[in-house]
Amino acid sequence: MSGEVLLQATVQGLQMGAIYALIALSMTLIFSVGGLLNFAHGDFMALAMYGALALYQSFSLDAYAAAPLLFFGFFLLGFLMFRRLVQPVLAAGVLAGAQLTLGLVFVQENFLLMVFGGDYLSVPTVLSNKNLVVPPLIMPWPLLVGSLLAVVLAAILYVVLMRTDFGRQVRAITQNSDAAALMGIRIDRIQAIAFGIGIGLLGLTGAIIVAQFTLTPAMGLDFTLIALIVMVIGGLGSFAGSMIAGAIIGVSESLGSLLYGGTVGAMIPYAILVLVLLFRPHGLMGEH
Amino acid sequence: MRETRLRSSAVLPWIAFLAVALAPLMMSSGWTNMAILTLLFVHLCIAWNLVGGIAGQFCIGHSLFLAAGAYTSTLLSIHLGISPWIGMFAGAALAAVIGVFIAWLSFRYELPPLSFALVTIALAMLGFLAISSIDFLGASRGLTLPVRGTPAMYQFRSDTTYYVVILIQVIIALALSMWLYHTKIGLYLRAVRDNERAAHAIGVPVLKYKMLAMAISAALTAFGGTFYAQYLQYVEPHTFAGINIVIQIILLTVVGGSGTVWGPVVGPLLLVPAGEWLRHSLGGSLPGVHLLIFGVLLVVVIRFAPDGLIGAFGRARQAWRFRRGVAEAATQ
Repeated sequence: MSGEVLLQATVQGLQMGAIYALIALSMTLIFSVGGLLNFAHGDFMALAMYGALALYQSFSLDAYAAAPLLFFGFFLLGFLMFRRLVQPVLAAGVLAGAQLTLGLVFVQENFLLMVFGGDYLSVPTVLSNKNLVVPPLIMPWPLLVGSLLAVVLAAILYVVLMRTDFGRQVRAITQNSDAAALMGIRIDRIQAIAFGIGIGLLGLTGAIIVAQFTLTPAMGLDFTLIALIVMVIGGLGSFAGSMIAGAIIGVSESLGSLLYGGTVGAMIPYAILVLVLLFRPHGLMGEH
Repeated sequence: MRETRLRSSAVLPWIAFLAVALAPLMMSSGWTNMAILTLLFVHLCIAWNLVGGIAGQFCIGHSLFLAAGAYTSTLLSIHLGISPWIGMFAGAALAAVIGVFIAWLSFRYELPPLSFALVTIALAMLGFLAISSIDFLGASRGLTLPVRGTPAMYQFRSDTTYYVVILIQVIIALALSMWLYHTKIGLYLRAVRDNERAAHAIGVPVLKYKMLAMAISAALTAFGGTFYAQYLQYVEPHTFAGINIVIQIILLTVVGGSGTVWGPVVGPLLLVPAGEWLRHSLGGSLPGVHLLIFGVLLVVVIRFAPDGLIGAFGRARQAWRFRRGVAEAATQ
């Protein structure tokens, strides 16, 4: 196999990796403020992708223009959902919370199936089917733009968490929520805002990568699993770790499918997760 | 006095359960299919509950055990002509070995909480992808069982016979689960669930008992897998190794009340017929609408009773007794 093909697959893997990392970071944000393992994570993004489709069909609004709208819409959805639905269940334990999100998987998948049907759909955008050719590489514009925006958004999230009061409060809750509560941080509010931002980010992410994917109602679970894998491998809450883990998963998946076929490519991330959990249970960059 | 109350509280649910479970035998044959599906889920939920509820270890890998039961008995029947009545024990043994191995792998070290869920979900996905691509296992097309048509080969003319088989399986599983719950094993497992460190400190061999719970749960699940394969007369990865069936098992158990003896019975007993009824009355109109309503129903129950219907029932009974006590005290 020629080096050019390998290079092509590696670059594509890195670009997918940046997107995986962003999805994992929003999952980490939700996990870090309340211990909620959100199994419906990818389904929220699928919902956003179908939202972009609906906006295009009804108002001919391009997905990239719809992205800010979807961010605010999903922020509100997440905030309200946390207050009315997730928080009371989470009070009964993180296990009950995780089980609730499994129920949400069921609800969202079938909602999409009911409204949009089970057929494969795609959303046309200004960038669809256009490639950037930098010999020897051919890069699809949607993937290139999606991955660059993912890196930018991850950087913004990093600055927000490190430099703002909200970010300090989030980190305080992550380190010791009891002590944070004693310091006067309103935990339930920060949790709801963090959940809102996490879901809002999924709204945004869904819109900016929708041109790269074919939509089916059951696509969410795959994204959830990839996000879980990246989150765990990177070490919970580590930004650099998530970016590196995203790159590892993206590249190994892409090279795996190229060299050994699609099934083996799809198996590699899970195999890496099992190995990491067994031998480095706190992730590559995680703290003890 | 106390003893009689204890005995009646143990016997009454059995009477109620048997009354409900025997009813389909009197009904017209149109109901049998639904009744079989319901009892199959009761069986699978009882099995999952041993690990996921009583021992409190959030396992999402039970599709592996279901597949072990279904595929082992089917392959033995196709290639060696061995009756699934014998093959089901081979499947259960294989599932138990896989379960013990997974438990040993995951619980050797003190991993962060919920990472067991992640290990098992990853292994389940690996299993699903492997089964869907290996030709010997029928890949994504699946395998069809040869028609032999004799009860000795686990094939019956009437669905009613299948119903009797799954009913006997459920009674055995339920008796086993009830016995485990009240013996030392169940007490140890519940201690591990409630506070693993404390259990370890007072000398509970935590790893050993988690492995034991996985072995029993996996074997029971595999028996369910063999039954389902024989009933459908084919095996195929989406039905037997997909993650969706595990999600359904978990949700049905949680809605009934996970970690209790009767929760995994009540959940599927109420919700599987409800789901089937929704499918019949709405399924034709819009794709997914019946599952959407079903999902909303599950979420609503979890929202208002995170400890399940059994827990909500217990609280309601307590509140009623308290109110009666207050009323009695007021009249005296």
